[in-house]
Order: sequence, then structure tokens, then C-alpha cells
Amino acid sequence: MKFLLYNNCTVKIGLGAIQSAGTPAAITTTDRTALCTSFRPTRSANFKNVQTLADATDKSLTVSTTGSVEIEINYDGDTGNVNPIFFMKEGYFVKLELVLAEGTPVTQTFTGVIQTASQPVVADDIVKESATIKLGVAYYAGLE
Amino acid sequence: MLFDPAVIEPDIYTVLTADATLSDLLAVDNLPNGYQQGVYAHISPETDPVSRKPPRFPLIVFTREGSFGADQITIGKTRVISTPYYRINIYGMSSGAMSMVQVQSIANRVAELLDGRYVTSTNPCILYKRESTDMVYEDQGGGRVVFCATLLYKTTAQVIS
Repeated sequence: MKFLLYNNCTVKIGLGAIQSAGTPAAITTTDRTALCTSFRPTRSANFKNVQTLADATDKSLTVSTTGSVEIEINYDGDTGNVNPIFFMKEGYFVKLELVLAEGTPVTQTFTGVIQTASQPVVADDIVKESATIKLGVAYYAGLE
Repeated sequence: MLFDPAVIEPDIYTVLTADATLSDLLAVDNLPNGYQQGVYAHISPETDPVSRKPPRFPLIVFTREGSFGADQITIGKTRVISTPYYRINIYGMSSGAMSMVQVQSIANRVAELLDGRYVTSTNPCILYKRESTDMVYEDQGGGRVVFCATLLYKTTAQVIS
């Protein structure tokens, strides 16, 4: 058995149009692994209880899926890159790719809309961006 | 950045030796500026390389004193920040009527030079932030007292990639 370490992961980020504009065009991603400090995807199922009077237990039925990605990146303050990626872009489509590669690369894709984004500036600390991307959104079918 | 002390320590030395005001304060008793090196890394030597004599007070010794924490990295293995501490000690001696004015004046000047200093011409970029200060003294008998003003700096060394 061999465990996967962070150094074998690649994080790619692409920003699309604002959701209110409708179905987004294809989003191109850029490798931001050098900036990214954490990437936490979560997927879950929504259930409906279809229990009948004859059932002694819940009968939960999956009716939809949802999820979110929490991501934290260092702010790139280099000349030409002084704009935040997520902050002030709430409501925009985002495509995220996580490439897991120790041997053959496995790419996990997440497409959603920026729900929250923060950019704390704290004395004596590096400036970072934190964002939560909502998966399962209007104008985009699926979570990927 | 492979080894940040090799960048930070020359910067501290250069800043402290290049300042004419600080040189004036270190050259007491009508001695000419630069009569001795006066600023030393890690330890005061037995023989000053300029004067060829034992170092005289006042003098400055700076040394690394650990780190604030581990180096920060990203998922991409990029080392982003390291935060080594540097202690600047200013030693002085007084005989008879005790006075810390000499050491205090030098410490003030060091603080003016280093507090908030941000160097972008090196890799890593270096930001100096003073963490704390202290003043200690030792009675050596015979009316002689050695003073030490100490300034602790947290340096933030940022890798340019």
C-alpha cells in the first residue's frame, strides 16, 4: 500500500461567466497548484423519504446530488496578477480540476458557482483567499 | 530560496554598517568612524578585523534565534514563507555614573533602520518586524556596568517564484 501525498496533486482553476447570464461557455482551467494551500471537495445526496404506513423504518430515496468545494489559495501579488481569483466574483461559474497522480493521473472535475469568498488581510500574515463553490446549480447539469 | 540566512544575515550586516549615523554612534571617545568593524554576526570576535584589537564597547552582535514556525508551503510544494527570528544585541559599558543613553541611542538607530524594512531586491524578499525589546545590565564591579539593549526581529522571507 502506498498513500497519496499532497505533492502528487494538481489544482486547476477556471472562472466562467456570471450565472445570471445563463448556461456558461466551456471554461478553461489554469494550473494554480503553486498558490493553493487547501482543496476540500464534498459531495452528498439529497433524499426523499418514501416510507409507507407499512414500513417500520425510513425509506430514503436519493433524488438529487449536491456538494461544495472549499478552497484556499495564497493571493498572487505579482505584477500582472494583482486581482483576486474568487473574491468579488460571487455568483460566477467556476470549474475546478483536481488531478491525483502517483501513477496514472486521475482527474476529478467540479463545476459550480462561487457562493462565498473572503480575503482576510491580517497584520504579520500572508494574504489569502478562501472560497466556497456550490455544486449543483442552475444553468449547469451535474456537479462535474 | 535554498537557505534564507545566507540572504538575511548579509542584509542585516550591510544595513547596520552602511549607515553613517550608526557609525557615528558606535565611534565614541573621539574615535574615527569605522575604527573597528563594530557589527558582528553571531559572536564578537577576539580580534576585530579592522582595528586588529579586541572589540571595544559599544558594539552590535546579531544572531539567528530560531523560527516563528515551520516554513509555509502550498500543495504544489512551493515554499512560500519562512519566518526566522534575529536578535540584535547592542552592548555598551559605563563607568562611574551609570547611563544607558549611549546604548539607547544606538538601539533607537537600529530600530529606525530595521523596523518595517522591506527588501524586494533579494530572493527571498525580506520583511522585518520587531517582536520585542529588552534591556539588561551586569555589574562587573569596580563601578563598571555592561549594558545590553536587545531587539528581537521576526523576519518574513518570501520566496519569489
